[in-house]
Amino acid sequence: MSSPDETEALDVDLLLAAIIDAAGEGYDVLAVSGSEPLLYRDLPRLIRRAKEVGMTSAVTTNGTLLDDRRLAMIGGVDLLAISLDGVPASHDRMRGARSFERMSRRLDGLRASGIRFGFIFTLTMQNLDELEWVAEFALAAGASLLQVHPLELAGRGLPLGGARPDEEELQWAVVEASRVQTAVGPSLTVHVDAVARGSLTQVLDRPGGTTGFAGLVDPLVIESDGSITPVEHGFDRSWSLGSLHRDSLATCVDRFRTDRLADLEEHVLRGAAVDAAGRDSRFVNWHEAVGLRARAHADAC
Amino acid sequence: MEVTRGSDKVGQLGRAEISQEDLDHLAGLGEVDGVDLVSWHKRGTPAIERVSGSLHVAPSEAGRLVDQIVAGGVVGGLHVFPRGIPAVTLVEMQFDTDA
Repeated sequence: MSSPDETEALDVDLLLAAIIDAAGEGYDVLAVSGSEPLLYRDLPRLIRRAKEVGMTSAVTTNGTLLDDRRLAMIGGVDLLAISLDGVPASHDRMRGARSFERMSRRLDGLRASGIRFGFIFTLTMQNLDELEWVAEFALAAGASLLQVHPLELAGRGLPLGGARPDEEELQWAVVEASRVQTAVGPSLTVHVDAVARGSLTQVLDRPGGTTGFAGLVDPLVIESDGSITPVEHGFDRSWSLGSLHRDSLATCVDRFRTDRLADLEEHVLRGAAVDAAGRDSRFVNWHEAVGLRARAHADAC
Repeated sequence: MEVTRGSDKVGQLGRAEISQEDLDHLAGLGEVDGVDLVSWHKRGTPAIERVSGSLHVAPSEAGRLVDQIVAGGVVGGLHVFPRGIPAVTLVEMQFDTDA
């Protein structure tokens, strides 16, 4: 459930029902992100529901609101991901004055709560040299995960298009993350959101219709206005599965499975894999590649 | 205005031509199971001219990795240092595209 532009809260009953439906379709992770999820008063109910249906849960936050009351509120979450945009000066430049200080002073309480947590570092064209500092900070803070997420053209990345890392920079990020992983050791996992081009043969070689819905459309995103879209926030709306305000998630999935899933698999997923296979870069930002392919196919139609 | 890449600020050394294919091959070294990339440096803007660095690898994997590096044809110099007394427990490899 995601939207960086979220200004309205969806009715919690719609979301609670959607979690049950999603579990029935084979989804096993609930990820809540966009705006500031800790301000959503029903967040604990979503986390509890996820646990009830056997899902793990993750919440992405800017970390500044993690006081004792909120930590107790989200105590059942499996992973808390805190956005960290580089060294303190870079973080404050992106998120406002004193943002780093306001976040970092919450870390002692978070560590004491016992909640497993990690950091998300948004990779731009200019900031790979800050990854080592971020990793050392994360390790010292007691984090178990550092996720390196490339700034994307979709969603929040649009106004910052010039800062989007190109394929060469993404490749170097994988190299640098490998070095940093060696430096920090196994207590902190450094992960880059990039797919090795070679692994895309799994998509190309797979006979159509052999993967379940959750295997193909992963993740499934519920936007703040209730619409359900494949893969990522900002995905071309022509591929929307529908809206929770009109139908249940199960109904939307059934309809999409009948009407659009084959098109999505052939023209978007396999199309994106073919595009990627023809490029030089060893690593691909897969979700972005799929998003761009979806938009191109919609424009062509 | 020309953008300074973050990767350009990580480390800098030497000069010599290196192609996209070379970069692709080097990027793959850190992905090999049992291989830890310890350091890397590149130089060249906008074209990458030289890359150097070092890897740690388990002794059992060292031969295969040397074959892979040599087969790639990118690395001009490769220095292999067995570490550990009396038994070798780790092999350090230092590579340089311009040696």
